[in-house]
Amino acid sequence: MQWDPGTQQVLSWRMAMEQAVKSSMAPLPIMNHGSNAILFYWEDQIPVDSFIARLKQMYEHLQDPKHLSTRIWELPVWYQKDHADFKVLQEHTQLDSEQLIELHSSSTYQVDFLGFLPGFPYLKGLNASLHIERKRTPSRAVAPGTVAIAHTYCGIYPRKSPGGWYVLGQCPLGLFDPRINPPTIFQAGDKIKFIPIEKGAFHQTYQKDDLQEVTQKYLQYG
Amino acid sequence: MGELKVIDPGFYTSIQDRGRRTARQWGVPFSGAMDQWAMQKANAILKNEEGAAVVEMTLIGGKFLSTHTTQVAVTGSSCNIEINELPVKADHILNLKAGDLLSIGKARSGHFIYLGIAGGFETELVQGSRSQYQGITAKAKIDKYDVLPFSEVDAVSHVVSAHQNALPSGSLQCYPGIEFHSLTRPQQLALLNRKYKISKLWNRMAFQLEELLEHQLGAIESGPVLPGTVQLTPEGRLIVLMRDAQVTGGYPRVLQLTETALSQLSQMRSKDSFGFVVTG
Repeated sequence: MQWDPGTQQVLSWRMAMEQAVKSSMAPLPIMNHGSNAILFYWEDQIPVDSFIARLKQMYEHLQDPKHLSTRIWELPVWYQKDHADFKVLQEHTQLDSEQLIELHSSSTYQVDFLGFLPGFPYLKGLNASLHIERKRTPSRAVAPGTVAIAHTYCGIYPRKSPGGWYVLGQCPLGLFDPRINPPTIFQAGDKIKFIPIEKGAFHQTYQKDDLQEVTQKYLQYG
Repeated sequence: MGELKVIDPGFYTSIQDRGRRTARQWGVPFSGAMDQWAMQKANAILKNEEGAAVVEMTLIGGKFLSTHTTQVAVTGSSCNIEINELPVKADHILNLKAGDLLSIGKARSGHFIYLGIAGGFETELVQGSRSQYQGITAKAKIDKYDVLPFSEVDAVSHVVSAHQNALPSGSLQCYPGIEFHSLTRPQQLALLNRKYKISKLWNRMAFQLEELLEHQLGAIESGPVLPGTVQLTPEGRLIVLMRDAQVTGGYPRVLQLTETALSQLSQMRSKDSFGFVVTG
């Protein structure tokens, strides 16, 4: 199911549609979000036309989703002022390091969808002066928890990976564990605030908590 | 519990099954055997459940030592198979005793060879699947000296004859992709009337095709993609996403292969030419 480019509140409509499908479709489809679409995938043969008709009907009866409650994560980030990418971003924005940290951490972000890597959230809400094309040549290895930006998005690398986004800092929390269900703390629609921390605090909390503890400590409801 | 010891894994070998379906919303790819048809054949021969885990070998087979009596079957790309250096047949039940060495040679056609075992391999189950994938299973692939556990089940006593229809050859059946209708009519016809070959760039994530298609489509907002989604890059390159593909992509999606066509494509080599046919 896809919305026209430029449609307002697509994420809210996607979340509302996901909830509606979860509560009233059987068999339940496999779902995943894209920036202006949500995929419903049934493994078994289904009567396609009648299912599409039901989805359309469901969509027409959705309540205006703007009051949907969302979860808010307050995630600590050690901003890495010495990182080569951080310096590129300083040059890009013409800001000193404190101003850059302030600019990035003062926005409230929202998980648009997960993709690229298991548990990798694409976050909307990046200040327009931080929009930047991804690197021509990706870095070989980006550390787990890395908070980075590219295009209009901010992202968090759930694990070590090659990456073409510009690094701002690193979150010390373990954010993905495939042995747990769900394996990530994030879901489409979650809001995120970044709380700047110092290097010392980063090392004290680095990968200490499991996903359940992370949820207990860093999740607020909005 | 029996074990197969990996004496030589071959070139790129991994455990695969029907794939990991329910973790997609968190960005986890489906994975699963590239040629699902060949995997199911191995399991059918052994009277396993359809989705029992198998070993998938790429281009070059491996050598495996059994610690227990068991039965196995080798399917997929044709290859030489030996037990203790004596040739045996593909697509048949093969009896292994403790200490027997199963050696699988090079793929003579196609890319993927499958080794099924009675009861299925019982390696780590993560998010509903044993398919190996980096960052999800503890191991991303099978290495030398790995030990592959299997449960001991009653032997299948009779040879199952060829029970499945042959995998169709020739054109790949597909549906129009979401951006198919953004192509002009001549471009749509060109896409469907041409013959294609796969390029040297292929792996479990994607097969890139050799031929270019001229078009004017720009990138799209990142949207959901599936195994079998055919993407069209700005340079006109066609990329068919395979089992390990990411869950979202930013290129226009011009076609969507059927499940059967996806298995078919996985076994095509660069010399094989094929076309796309839109199914009704």
